[in-house]
Amino acid sequence: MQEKIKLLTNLLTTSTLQKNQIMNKIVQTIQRTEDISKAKVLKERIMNGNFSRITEGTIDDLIKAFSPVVESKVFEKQERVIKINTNQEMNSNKDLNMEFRIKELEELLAESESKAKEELEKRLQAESLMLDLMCKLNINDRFELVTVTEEEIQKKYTDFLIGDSIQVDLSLLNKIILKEYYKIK
Amino acid sequence: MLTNKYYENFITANEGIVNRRQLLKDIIETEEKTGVELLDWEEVQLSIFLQGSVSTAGVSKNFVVLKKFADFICKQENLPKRVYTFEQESLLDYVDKDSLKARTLSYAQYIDIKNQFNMEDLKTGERINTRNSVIFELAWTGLTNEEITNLKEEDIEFIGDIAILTLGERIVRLEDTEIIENVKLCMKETYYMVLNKTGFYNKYNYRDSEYLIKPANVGRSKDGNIKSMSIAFSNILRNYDVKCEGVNIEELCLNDIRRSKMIYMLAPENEEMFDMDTIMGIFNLRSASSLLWLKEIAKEIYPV
Repeated sequence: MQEKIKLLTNLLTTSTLQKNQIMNKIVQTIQRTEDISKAKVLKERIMNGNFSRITEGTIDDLIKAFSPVVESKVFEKQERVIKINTNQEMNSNKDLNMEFRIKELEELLAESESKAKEELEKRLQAESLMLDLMCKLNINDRFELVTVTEEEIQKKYTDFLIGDSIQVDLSLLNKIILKEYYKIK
Repeated sequence: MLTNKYYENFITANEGIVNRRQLLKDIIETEEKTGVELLDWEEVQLSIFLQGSVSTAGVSKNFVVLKKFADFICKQENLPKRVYTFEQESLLDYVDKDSLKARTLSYAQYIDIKNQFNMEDLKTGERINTRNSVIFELAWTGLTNEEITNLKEEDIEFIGDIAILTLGERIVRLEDTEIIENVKLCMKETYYMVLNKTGFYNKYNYRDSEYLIKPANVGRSKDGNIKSMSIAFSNILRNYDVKCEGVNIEELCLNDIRRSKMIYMLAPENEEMFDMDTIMGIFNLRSASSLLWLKEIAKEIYPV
């Protein structure tokens, strides 16, 4: 526990953040497990070097919160070295990124083609069921063929998505919209 | 039984007593259980009746209603007044501690429930229904039902990183940045979304109002604030299907949230940080007597 307190004190004194930023960060970290009223009191104690009522869990959280500031500075330095010394590597990195991007797009295309195929199968199935039903119902002059326009379909979807529709529309739930259907006159 | 005979008359004559019907039913139930009529009750019957409250104030209040009812019956029947005695110091013994603990939130449980109120519009990614979060958070901060109901937008001032709430003669400082952010969003909010039984959301515009917590614009009422904040909060818990392990959500009310924060501050580990005067100031208490019994409860909920 004493070693952790020493480490935390060290991190706080070597931090490049402004004093206000350090205090805010302490409060935000402690607030994950304690109410803000307590977090502010503990912050004052920590800033004064008083760790008497600070739990080990809180100290661990604070060490974690203040550690990345030091590590990222080291990481940045390494990156700068790479950029200055290896222009050739950067070019080959560009090619690698391009290849990766092409692969991503190919996968997306395959996915959307497979989805389109699925939709088509569903539509054909629905039409076949419709034909069966027409035969069973012995469709004749009593029935009127209704065509659904694109605008009507769009409105149905919009109402469904924004929740204005209060009726459960089975065709929407099954993601099938029939463009034509028979209605009894 | 005389209690049955004068039940309705007492109810009619005492409209100011909240929850009077249930209390009188509890008295009658105790009479049936013990076989002793109210005017013959001794400490045994009193104990049975007074058990079940989640606070000493609740126990006291129930005792006052009981005495009033007994006096009412005696007056109607021309009988001498009946005097009931029980030890005021033993109020805590009548509190249903298990029920109280199931309605007391730790800080972790407060955060768990708070997160369940976060809701976003799927199309725009914006926060919606922030009103619900604000009601819950203001109760945790220490505001009563009445203070939350009557808080107007003009009573809220944002200064730097804090917000100052002016509640009559009382000033409350909000320092939690998340709560302040939610209050600002709540002030800008114009509609409320409610999940209906068919699984779709209905949108209700808020009524034009000067109050921070606005009612939805439905029905004929023109009131600018919510009539019953406790009922509104119960509806929110039910509508959001809030769950939290170890907490009796069905019975949870805003008073419980406010009390939970008091108990948190009275926990033994926080004794050095928050003295009685500070806590009395935050919760606008006139005396520390109500905190003394909560301190005993805090020792059990937050053992060292």
